[in-house]
Amino acid sequence: MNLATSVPLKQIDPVRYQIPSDYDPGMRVPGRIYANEKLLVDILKDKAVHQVVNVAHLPGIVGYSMAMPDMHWGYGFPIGGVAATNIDEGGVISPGGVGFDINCGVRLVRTNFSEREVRPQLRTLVKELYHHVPAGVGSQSGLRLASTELKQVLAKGSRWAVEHGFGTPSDLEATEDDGGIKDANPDFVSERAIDRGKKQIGTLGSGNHFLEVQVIDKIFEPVIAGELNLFENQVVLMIHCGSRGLGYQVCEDFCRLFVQCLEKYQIVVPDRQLACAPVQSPEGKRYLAAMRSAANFAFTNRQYILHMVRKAFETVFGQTWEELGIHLIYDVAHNIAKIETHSRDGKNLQLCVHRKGATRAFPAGHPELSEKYRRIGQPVIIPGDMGRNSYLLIGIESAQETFYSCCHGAGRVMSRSRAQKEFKAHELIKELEARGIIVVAESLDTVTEEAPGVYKDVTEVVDVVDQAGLAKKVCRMRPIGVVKG
Amino acid sequence: MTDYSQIEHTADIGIKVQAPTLAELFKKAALAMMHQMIDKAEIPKKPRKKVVKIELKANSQEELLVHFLNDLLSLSDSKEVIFREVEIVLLTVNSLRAIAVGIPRRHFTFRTEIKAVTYHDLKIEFRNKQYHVQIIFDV
Repeated sequence: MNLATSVPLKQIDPVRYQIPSDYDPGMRVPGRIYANEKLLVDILKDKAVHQVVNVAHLPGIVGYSMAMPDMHWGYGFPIGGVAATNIDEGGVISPGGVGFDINCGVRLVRTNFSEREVRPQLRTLVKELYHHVPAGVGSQSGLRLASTELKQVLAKGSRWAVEHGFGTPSDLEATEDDGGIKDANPDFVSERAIDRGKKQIGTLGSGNHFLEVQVIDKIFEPVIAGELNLFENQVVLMIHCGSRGLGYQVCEDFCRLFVQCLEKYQIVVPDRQLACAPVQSPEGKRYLAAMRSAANFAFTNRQYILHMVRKAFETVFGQTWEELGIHLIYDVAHNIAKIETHSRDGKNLQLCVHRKGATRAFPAGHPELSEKYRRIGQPVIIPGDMGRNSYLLIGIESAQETFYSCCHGAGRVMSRSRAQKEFKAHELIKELEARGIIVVAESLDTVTEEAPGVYKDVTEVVDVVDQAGLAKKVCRMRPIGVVKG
Repeated sequence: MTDYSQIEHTADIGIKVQAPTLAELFKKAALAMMHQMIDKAEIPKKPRKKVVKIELKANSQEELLVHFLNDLLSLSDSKEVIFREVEIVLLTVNSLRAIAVGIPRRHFTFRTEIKAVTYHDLKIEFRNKQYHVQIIFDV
């Protein structure tokens, strides 16, 4: 079934396709899809291309309604969607353009180990990681916070964790926005959201979230890899999770409010999940402040997980994490809206950049990067699936056309219900084990639904990003240990 | 409890529910959503039950349904229960009152977390003497 055949796609070059703005009278800008011919075949199978068209309706949108090569059908925005609105010209912010899992993101952590050194202890290590980091539906943290303390987390982000001994200042330097977005206001976060977040700092959750032990198996940019203290055969860790129930509740609270705003601000959108309000409106400002609070919760969540990962390594290897060289390479958000300054036609514009399943990729010299990364550019972390590869890339100047945005993963091609029919969890676990990958999961259904075969090949996706000049490949990893919810 | 069908969605979960009355449609959708989250249940004969009341107002019945289901998800998370009984006490074009009975989460093993209920592609329709709705959940 080809759902998207009605949408005209004009090929611009081997990795860029355009949807003309006259395709739909409501489109304010053209659509732009980054993909090659092979990826496009899957992209056209679901409703994602229609969602690119829908996003082009947003008031104040600048440039293009864009989608990255890992794009697929989402709700409201496509997953892999990027849209920037000009806040000085009535540009809107849409909670649906951020998603329920506000600041879902990924962090990459280095170690001093080579694969050979970890192999004999790998099973123990994976079990210890699983034991230290709660995963699965409704998983709860050993950390219980009172409302007043949680509000400190929302205001400060990872700095709160560092102040409480769950990290170091160098972890903050290696986190987007130093792990704490300014102008967060916990007073705009509902009691219900606070209630849901109290027991969830340091938990992975379920679905596509994971904690992986990986090995660097190829280096593309030796100089940058060297600067980041990365080498071939090195063991690294990847953590993927977000803002848990607190974030879902913030999104839901504001979706409810913003659906009512549509009439108030006379905004017409083709899908209620795109409900939005001007960034400068009272509702827009409140959402931004609440969304930033949830984003800070997510940074702290991943920071506390890193703390527990360090403890697990100390338990298994009997040395301190500092001796084992367990340092954060970087932490990126891939569900977020940011107010950023971008240059367009010689003018500096204040834009609200929505990245829904997309990663910020600032180039070297960008003023918003911490000093450590201003020299080399921002690390961009792209997880794949549990059987194939993941990548580390670096931001480059030519990504200006996407407001310095890049893909966020491999992207799904198969529904969860079909995966249940196609794969068997026990067989998958055995198959992966035969290839040297140990999988521990809270739910066997999650293993089936997250089977490598449900994803596109991340290498294909990353090659498009590299070819389009949205980011540059630094190194490739393959998994050896997987913890799933 | 399993009186619904699943639809193919690339990343998330979608279900289709039908019922002869709107109240029944809301109830079935709620129970189907809870059913999607769980794998197995081992419930003792007399479990400790938690009763919650939900009261809502909205602009349309679609919005009422989304808000109702999201409230149930939120309460399921914060009160650590799975709702197995739902009663729609009152349902008008723009208001709803319902009671739901939850059973502690420790009696269940889980399949997947539903993060939220979305408005995407959601429309309540009446055809062939039945109300129909399709709902996409973010998972």
